[in-house]
Amino acid sequence: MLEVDKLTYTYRGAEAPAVREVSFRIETGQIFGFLGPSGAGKTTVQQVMTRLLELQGGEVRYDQRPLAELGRSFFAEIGVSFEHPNLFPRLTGRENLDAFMGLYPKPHLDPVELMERVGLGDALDKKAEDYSKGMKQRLVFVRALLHRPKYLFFDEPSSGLDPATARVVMAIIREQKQRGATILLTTHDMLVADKLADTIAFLHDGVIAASDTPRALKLMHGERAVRVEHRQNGVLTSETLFLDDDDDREYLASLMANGEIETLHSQEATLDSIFVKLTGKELAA
Amino acid sequence: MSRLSSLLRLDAKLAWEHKLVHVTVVVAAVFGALLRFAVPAEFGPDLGEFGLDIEGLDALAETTAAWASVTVLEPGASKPPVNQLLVAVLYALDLCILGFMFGSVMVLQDKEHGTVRYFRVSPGTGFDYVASKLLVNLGLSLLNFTILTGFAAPLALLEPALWLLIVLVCAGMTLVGMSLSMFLRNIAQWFFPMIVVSTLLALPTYLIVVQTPALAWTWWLPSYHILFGAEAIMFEGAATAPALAALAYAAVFCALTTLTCVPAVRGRLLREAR
Repeated sequence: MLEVDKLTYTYRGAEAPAVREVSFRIETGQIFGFLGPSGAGKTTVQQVMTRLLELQGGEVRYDQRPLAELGRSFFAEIGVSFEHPNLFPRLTGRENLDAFMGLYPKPHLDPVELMERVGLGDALDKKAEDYSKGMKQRLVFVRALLHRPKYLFFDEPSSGLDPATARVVMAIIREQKQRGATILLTTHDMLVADKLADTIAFLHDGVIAASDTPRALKLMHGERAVRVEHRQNGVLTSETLFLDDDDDREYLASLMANGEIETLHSQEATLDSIFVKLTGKELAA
Repeated sequence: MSRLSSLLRLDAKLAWEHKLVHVTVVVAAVFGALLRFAVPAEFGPDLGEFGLDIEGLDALAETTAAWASVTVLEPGASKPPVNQLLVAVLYALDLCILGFMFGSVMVLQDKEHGTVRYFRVSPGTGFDYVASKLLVNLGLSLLNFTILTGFAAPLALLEPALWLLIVLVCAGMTLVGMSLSMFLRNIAQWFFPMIVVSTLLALPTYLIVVQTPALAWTWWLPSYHILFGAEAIMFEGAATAPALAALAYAAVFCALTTLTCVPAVRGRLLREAR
């Protein structure tokens, strides 16, 4: 289990903290999604948790062990996939993976198999400087997994990926969860967070605006309504019907009984719309 | 041990990919060949053609004889061959400066590529980081030394004290280069300090031509000791006072730079935030 309690961090020279009293908990084998626009403080939280930044205020505990008391062997337990790929450009993909494998205790996963899964099988012996941004992103993603870490940190794992590869990456993240890894996912892509995360937190201006399961958030902030398109006297009509309204429910039942409905869409909230509702800002901003 | 050998393989590969090995071999071979085939062993009896005023020096000796006594330390000593003397000069210029430059560049490249960031979230330690780069750099320095000396003064390769002096000074200079790069962001920022350090390191070579007290402070520079220490080992023997003094200086210099560099890497480059 991973616990963060009232984490606060202020960058040198900044007037206000980048994150203020951020608290959350990730149960073992769960995926926690940090959702927020660029500059919200997602990466700052992750960097404090991975000791790239100093813990100035609050507490972080890994399985009850305070971050400050963990020795260097702690780094063998974590895997970090950075948003900005940090690779040796003159080395091939295979060499980049081999380079740091020896730093971690065995057993390691088979790098070739993982590279093939993310579509880099043919690029294994190509120099990293010749990789596209998306390829570099995938290489960094694979590198984070090789030593089978207990805790995984993914920063924008689907950034720059085509939809098909993004699906493969998401499938691999789910597999990591199934093997028992505890995962922190930071993203501004609400679809990725919605599909993967067991719990989501909206981070806005360094503060958690809301946190719950995606379903609970949608139910809490959405409307129980459906949008119906049907023919009325030969004219296509579109109407929103509220499921908690008796008349609307009766009307909907009649439309369904008559077979007049052409399209029917539930009007549940998206994570994007909930974020806008809570913060007044767009997620992709 | 597996961590260190893994990093060692990585740094050796990077040295090859960034052509540090190629530069080392070419520079050493060119200088070695020049000393061997293009520079004469003696400049001839008429030193005046090289800008030295021999008559003036004789006259000065006559005038100073009235108030100063001159002691000839080794009356039977022969002048060392000029081309072999220049080998020691190249140790000071080439080996010292390249060790410093390669040490800095290796760290600055890690900074620029962001790979040092990944190293910070790995179980690798500051000692692993310093040791692997140091060993690779020492390999390059010894390659340089072997080729240069092999061409210009092959018999000097049989002198273990010379190897020891080279290892200690080059290790120290690599560590100085690495320590300096902790405080710089990129190679552009490093350029000016590199010029300053290189110029300083080159100063003791001036003493070969003119023995001036104004440069007595250059005794503190490692290039001074690699220059005059190597010269002493090559032409006087390893058991002489100048050679032993140079070896002692080199040992202290190497120890001090190690004591400075490892904490600098831990405290600045790989600072773990707690």
